[in-house]
Amino acid sequence: MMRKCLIIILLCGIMGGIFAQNSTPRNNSFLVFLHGGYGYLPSKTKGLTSADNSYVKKMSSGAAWNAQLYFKHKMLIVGLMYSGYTSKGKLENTSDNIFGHYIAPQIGMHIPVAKVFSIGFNGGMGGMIYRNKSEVYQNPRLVTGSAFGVNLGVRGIFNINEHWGISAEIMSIIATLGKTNVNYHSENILVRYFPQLSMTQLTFSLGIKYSL
Amino acid sequence: MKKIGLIICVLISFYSCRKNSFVDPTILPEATTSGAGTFGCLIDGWVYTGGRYSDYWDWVSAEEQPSINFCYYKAKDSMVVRVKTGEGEYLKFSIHNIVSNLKPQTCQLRHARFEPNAQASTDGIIPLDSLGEVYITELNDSLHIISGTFRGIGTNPRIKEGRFDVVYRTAQ
Repeated sequence: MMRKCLIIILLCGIMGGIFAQNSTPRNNSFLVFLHGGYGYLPSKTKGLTSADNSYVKKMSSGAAWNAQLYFKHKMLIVGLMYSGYTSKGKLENTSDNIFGHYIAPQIGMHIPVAKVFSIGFNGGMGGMIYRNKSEVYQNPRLVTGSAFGVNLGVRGIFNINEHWGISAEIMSIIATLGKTNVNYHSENILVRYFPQLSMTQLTFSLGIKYSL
Repeated sequence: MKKIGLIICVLISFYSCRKNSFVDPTILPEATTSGAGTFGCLIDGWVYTGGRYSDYWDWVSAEEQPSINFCYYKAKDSMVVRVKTGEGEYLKFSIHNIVSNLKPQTCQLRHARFEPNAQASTDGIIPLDSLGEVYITELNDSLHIISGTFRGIGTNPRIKEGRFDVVYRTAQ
């Protein structure tokens, strides 16, 4: 999976370079987005953390962020996105610190609607890494896993000037976890999930846009 | 002849393979009362659960022994518990003074220990708490369901937060 992702990233980079060379400068630019906000796991964390209902609900809400880099040719954008998610929780005898990292090449559209307003769409396929550094009755437990994912995003951009803008975005990342590796009590345990655990994520974020 | 030998070897290797876990064995199961087939406890602060490993194949009954084995001896009003918690590692104890169809009730836990074999052994036994308490929340004689919690008692009990929810067997 990692090799396929690297090949796709390389192809996107080559395509972006071709776009940058073959068109007039005003049709081409770089776009950078940085967002931060709220992340939500609709399927909760049951199976990955303690099954207490209120705890699982709490662990499904957390902070999310992403960074996106695009080559723009007219309205078409091609690039790369990294997205992260984290949530923390603690019960009387257990605690969990979850991280999800997703990286994927992207393709989409950047459409000027008015002089100061644009909308954008993007989608892609990539890989997600899951990590939970937890403690069970004061003993450490590390859970790691990886998954294949797809994402779709939509955003509105308010352009402050030619280069800078404010962006509001909604993103969905769909992924399922088939197995995890649990390191506990000096042992590595492979845990398989059937059916697979959903790691689908929704993020609502605000950020900045910079274009060159 | 060679083919038969090969088939036998494949069958033996199949039954001796360790299964991957389908449920995270480092998370204590919920305390339920539906005969869900769960078992878990803390021993010296570490989580031990049942259901992760397949147990031995009984050629007499031609069936695989359950990883979580609760066997009720009616004549003695006691339950013998054997749970496979690792390769060559069984957690064993017995529950005494069980009253049929009474719930809830408090019973006595005796002789908790780790043993290396499914059958009784004299070597390699690691004693845990000699006495403990079992609080039975569900005991259904018709469906053969027993559920409850357990812990060691004494000055420094090693077993804590124990819970089980299983379908038990019976023996005379």
